[in-house]
Amino acid sequence: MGINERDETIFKGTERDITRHQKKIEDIIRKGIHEIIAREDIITRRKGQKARVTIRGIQSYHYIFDKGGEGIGHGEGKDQPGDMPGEAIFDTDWDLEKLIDIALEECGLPNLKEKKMIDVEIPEGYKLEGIDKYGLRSLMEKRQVVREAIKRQAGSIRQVAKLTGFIEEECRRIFVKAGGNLYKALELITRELVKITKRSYKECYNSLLKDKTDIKKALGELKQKPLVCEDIERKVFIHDEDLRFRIIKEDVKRVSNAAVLAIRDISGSMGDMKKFLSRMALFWLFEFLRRIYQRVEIRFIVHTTEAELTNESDFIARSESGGTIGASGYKLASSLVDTEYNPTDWNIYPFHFSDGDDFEPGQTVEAACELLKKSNMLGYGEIEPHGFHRSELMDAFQRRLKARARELKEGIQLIEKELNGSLFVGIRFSEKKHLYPVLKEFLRKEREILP
Amino acid sequence: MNNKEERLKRLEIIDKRIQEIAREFGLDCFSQKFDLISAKSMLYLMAYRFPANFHHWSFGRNYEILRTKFREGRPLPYEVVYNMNPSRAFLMKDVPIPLTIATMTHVYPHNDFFKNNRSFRFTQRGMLRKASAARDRFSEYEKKYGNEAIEKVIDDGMAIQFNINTDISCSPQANFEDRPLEPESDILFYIIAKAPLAEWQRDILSVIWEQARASVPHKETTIMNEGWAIYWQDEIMKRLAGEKLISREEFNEYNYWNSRIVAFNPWGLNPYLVGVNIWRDIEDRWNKGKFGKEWEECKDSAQKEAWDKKLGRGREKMFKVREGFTDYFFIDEFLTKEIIDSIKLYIYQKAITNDGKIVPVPVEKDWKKIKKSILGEMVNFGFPKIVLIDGNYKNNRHMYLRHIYEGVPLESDWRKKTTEHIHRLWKKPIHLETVDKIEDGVENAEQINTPFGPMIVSRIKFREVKRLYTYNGKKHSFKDS
Repeated sequence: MGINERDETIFKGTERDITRHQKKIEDIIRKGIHEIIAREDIITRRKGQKARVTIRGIQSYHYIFDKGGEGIGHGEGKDQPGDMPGEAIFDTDWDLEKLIDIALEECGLPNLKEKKMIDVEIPEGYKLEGIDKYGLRSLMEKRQVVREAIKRQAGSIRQVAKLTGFIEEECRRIFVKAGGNLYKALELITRELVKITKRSYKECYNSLLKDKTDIKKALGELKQKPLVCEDIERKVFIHDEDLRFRIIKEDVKRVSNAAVLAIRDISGSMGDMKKFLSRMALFWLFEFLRRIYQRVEIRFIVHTTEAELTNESDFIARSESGGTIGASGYKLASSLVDTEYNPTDWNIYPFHFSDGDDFEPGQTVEAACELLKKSNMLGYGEIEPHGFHRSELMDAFQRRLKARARELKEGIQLIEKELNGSLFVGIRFSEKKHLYPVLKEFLRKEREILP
Repeated sequence: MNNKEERLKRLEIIDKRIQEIAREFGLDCFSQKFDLISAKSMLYLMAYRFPANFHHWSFGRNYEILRTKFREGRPLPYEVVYNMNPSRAFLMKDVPIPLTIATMTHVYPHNDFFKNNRSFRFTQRGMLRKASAARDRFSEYEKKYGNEAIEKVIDDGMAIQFNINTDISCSPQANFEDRPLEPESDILFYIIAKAPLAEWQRDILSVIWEQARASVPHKETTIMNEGWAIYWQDEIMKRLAGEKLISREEFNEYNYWNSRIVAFNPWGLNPYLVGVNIWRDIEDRWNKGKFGKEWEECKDSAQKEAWDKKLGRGREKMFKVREGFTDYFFIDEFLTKEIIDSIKLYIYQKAITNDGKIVPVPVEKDWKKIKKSILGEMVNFGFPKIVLIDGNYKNNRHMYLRHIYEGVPLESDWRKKTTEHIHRLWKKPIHLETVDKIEDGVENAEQINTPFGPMIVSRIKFREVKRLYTYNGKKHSFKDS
């Protein structure tokens, strides 16, 4: 009466607007992915945990004052979201995996698979997948066949009913008496019409199919008594077009392995920013490769003038004094490949991060080239956050490999060279905001490399 | 009779009694219908403004914000009441019964306010039906022109939904001049009338315009209306308790809940708290005769304290005020120093204590300044005032707008985005004249002592410069005068 209790949600179709809004948020995340990539808290999360992304809401823009930091908090009053100016701050929980996926999509995940992959195909027998109209008798999908037959038959019966105006049960009986054949069924009916109207068979048949005015009275008479008196069992007639078969396919499992050899210069000259950048770059490279390969192993090598195998946290944290000989790192990586990662079974990805100051650049480049022969791609990242003093290593690589150099973006220099199926990419960068374009470059789809 | 039916029956009996009591008190209401809905429905209702409304992602966003707040424990309003005849109110159903009853007693004074306050005299009372009809029409448009096209128009309309004429007593004219004799404040309506738009686009913008207009009287009477509702809710609940229609426990539960609604909030003005305090003060003052020339001129505080002429005209005055005032004049005339001090309605800033807690610290206690700041926020609902000067600027259908500058410049990112929206509708360059503050050197370099030693601190000086911003559809530019 005056008070009404509603059980159902009075709103219908609201999901659409929520979904649309979430899509807009996703677009914002996509646009800002290059910043999200450089966020430290993302890489400290464990898998399965959600990374919390704070988004300054999506604004409905309108003219507002520039308060410039002065806040006199006379604001909200009744909770009216959205219509009021000011920020709507969201904390959206995003699955780390989903964020990585978005980052990958934005990077244009390279299909290295097609080019250089050594995938091992393991045939695992056969599997049944899908239904077709033709096939081996032993693979006939009987239930589906019967279903198709019933469908077709019902359609035919309905057609008879439509033409004659008889009830469906009567049509079914006629149909079955006619052996499941639509035309035979119509023939049966026509013969009865001939008996009644005394017209020719042809006339009656045509009238039945088209203009029924002539035979209307006769049809009416036929309706009165059943055409088929005997007991007609319920039967389904199977035609060729009803047959259905399972499809058989060969089942092949693709096994792909990637070994990432992370080599880092931990000599005194690698400061905090360099550590951060190399750590971030490695995290994302690892994540990207995980998406392509079934199995990715990552090995950590730290070096000064000498190299050492170590674990992840050590790799990140360690810092020593002394000089740098990159060759030590490359040599250790090479021997690792020889002993544990046979290039016929593994796709090798060494990545070296240094600041370019090297005691023996010639040696280092040679060692790198040795390793390059066994690798899919060797990435060299030279991190120089204090401006660009000409470093020796990058130049040495360029000279030795006769690689083409170009400026990728302001502050980022790139050299690349393909040698006998292996790819060398060297990038010099210095800031957090370079991280995203650098990663993108390391993993680009198509590389147009000039000899 | 099961639980639900019993509950409904009791509510109906109490509802009847509430109506009688309300009438006794002098409240004058439309007949009232109640709908009990789930919390989820309530969230949707608040997000969409009406029980049915057109589709837009901003409503989806509103819903997400509200749901986040709800999850964080912020209490939802237990009612939404619409200004119509008969009035319709939606209540949350899974709520302790004393709170449902209290909410009903809250709804009737809202009803009375809608019926009697001047601001609502010109309002549309068929908004629910219109919103639902709009949804159906827009669905047809979406089928014809695609969702995205419709969404764009709504986006554009919403960008200027606050640039309407807030005086809703006058209907907008049908014929606009290119150069209106007086600067036109209803930019949205001007665009509807004169922009090169298809009929369906005009329809969409008109709906947005109508809904924005319908919200104007609500926005300009929030404090009065909520205060009014809290005041009478309390009176009626006390009566119901006295008549034993609700138990002692139920009444206590109501009190506890009510105290949370009228709780003090240092970061924002709580209309319930401020409103009800002003109403009670009006009642007290007009009962005791604490008004007029004699009262104003009295300087003796002890005398003022003890003043009591036993006039008993409090209620009478309240009813007059509820009819003729809006928030602006309500605050201006009736928010006194005494009220401000008694509820500590100061201006606060955040400070951190030694153990890392954030506490509010009053930085402004001067009641004149506080009042001025509150009133300042109320002009044009806190939005900058933009008017249209010319719809045929440069004799080439450019639009020329002017920001009525009153000391605070426009936020630039929002300005750009909003102007882009206008351009998408008008399809010709948009010019906006405003005043910006730009850095102009430093002044008052002074030496202060800090924990790090003496430091020179100087304030950045600002210079006001008149600027004409132009957006031509591709880029933004400006010219200083």
